[in-house]
Amino acid sequence: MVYPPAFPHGAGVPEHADAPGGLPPGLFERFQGGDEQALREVVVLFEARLFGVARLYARSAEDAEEAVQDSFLRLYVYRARIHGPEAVFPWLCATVRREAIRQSGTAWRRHEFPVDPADLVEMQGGVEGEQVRLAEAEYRAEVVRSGLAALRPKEREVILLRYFAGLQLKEIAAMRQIPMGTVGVLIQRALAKMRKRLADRGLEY
Amino acid sequence: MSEKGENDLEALLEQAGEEWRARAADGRRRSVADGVVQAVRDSGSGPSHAGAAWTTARLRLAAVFVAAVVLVASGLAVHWATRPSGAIHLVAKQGDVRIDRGGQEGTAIEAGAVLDTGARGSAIVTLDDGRVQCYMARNTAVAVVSSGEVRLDSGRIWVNVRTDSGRFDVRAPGLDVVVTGTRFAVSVEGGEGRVFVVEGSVSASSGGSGQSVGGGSLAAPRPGGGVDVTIPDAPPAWVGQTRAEFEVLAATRYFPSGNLSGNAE
Repeated sequence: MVYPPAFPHGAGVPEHADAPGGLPPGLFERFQGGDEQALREVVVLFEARLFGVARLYARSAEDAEEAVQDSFLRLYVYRARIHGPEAVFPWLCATVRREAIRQSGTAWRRHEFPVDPADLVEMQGGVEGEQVRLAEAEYRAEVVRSGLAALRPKEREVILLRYFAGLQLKEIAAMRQIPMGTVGVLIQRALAKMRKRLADRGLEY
Repeated sequence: MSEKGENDLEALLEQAGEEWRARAADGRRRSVADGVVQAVRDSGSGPSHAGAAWTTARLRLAAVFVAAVVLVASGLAVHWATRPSGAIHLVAKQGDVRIDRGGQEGTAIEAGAVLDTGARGSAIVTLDDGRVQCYMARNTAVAVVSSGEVRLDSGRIWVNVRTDSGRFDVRAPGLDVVVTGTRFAVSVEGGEGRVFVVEGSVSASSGGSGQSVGGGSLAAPRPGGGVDVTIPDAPPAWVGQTRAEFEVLAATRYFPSGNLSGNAE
């Protein structure tokens, strides 16, 4: 199985993707030492990806932004508890999820995502004069909406984290504190359910 | 399902995810880097002090919480400790009523006193500063252990316990009754206690094993321990008789206004 790049847009892509946790050498140590510039670099490094995670759980972009800011502040306050550079981003993801859920309130108590991700997919296609692109985006949105409706909350969450927030399996596993194998099983099971739901509607995938 | 089909779904999700991230990124107004750094500065004299400031705030919050818990616990402890300290009064009596200490109508009774009504006697004792009213029918012997506890040795009693009273205990041969805000009658028959609850509920136990008894239920000791609880179609005759006697004596000698409800005061 080939997974997409974690974040293909440039902004927020770690410059040292192969380094532990994606942090440049020495940054984690400077950050733990309370260096202000290191804090700023960590924020710039992860904020775009983290915003993508927060947007899955928050009611609005403003709520997501606030959850992201709170998460970085907490990361700084509790930096001594972070064991190593590879733990930084999963810790941020878990924190931003908790913060966004706390803000969104009742929707999550009903195990619902406050924002239908398909809506955002559909809206992205609406570029004036590009009717074909718009139609394709609308089609994808409908497929995503139909498929996600067949999933249980936990399966839906890993699919959204994997394909929409663009997290790697190991990042989802660390964020949700479940074995990486379990994440893989959840994704495969969810994909199978989505295919079945789509097949019931005459769409073969 | 073909391999191609599986790849198509994932490719579609990847494409949809990419579009979603781009759309979601449009909602971002600005980098939060400046905001985070500023928040860290505001929380202390500098980034390296932010953790200490945060920790101090949390410690203060924890201290307030602990203080609140201590206050509540102290209040409960004081309430429990002072529960039996309310005054005990013999507020009404009729006919032959013997009491081993104190004993004039309208006067206080010392804790530990034993009251005994004769064949034509009856009495009302209030405990816990009037929050508990206890009517003694004829041929009844009651030891007032404290303001929160009486022991019924023989006869019948009718008890009103106000909801603002603390715990109140009635001990009868083979039966212990614990109440907080209810009305009930207790009698001793054949050397054994039994309780009928009119309102609310009591905890009745025998031989160390007990259970809750609700309104309209009759509880009696079970041989070997525990209590048997039944729900009769109507209150036993002795209950109605005891209650009626209480109301007559109270209306004529203690509650001229006619307010007989222990919970209505």
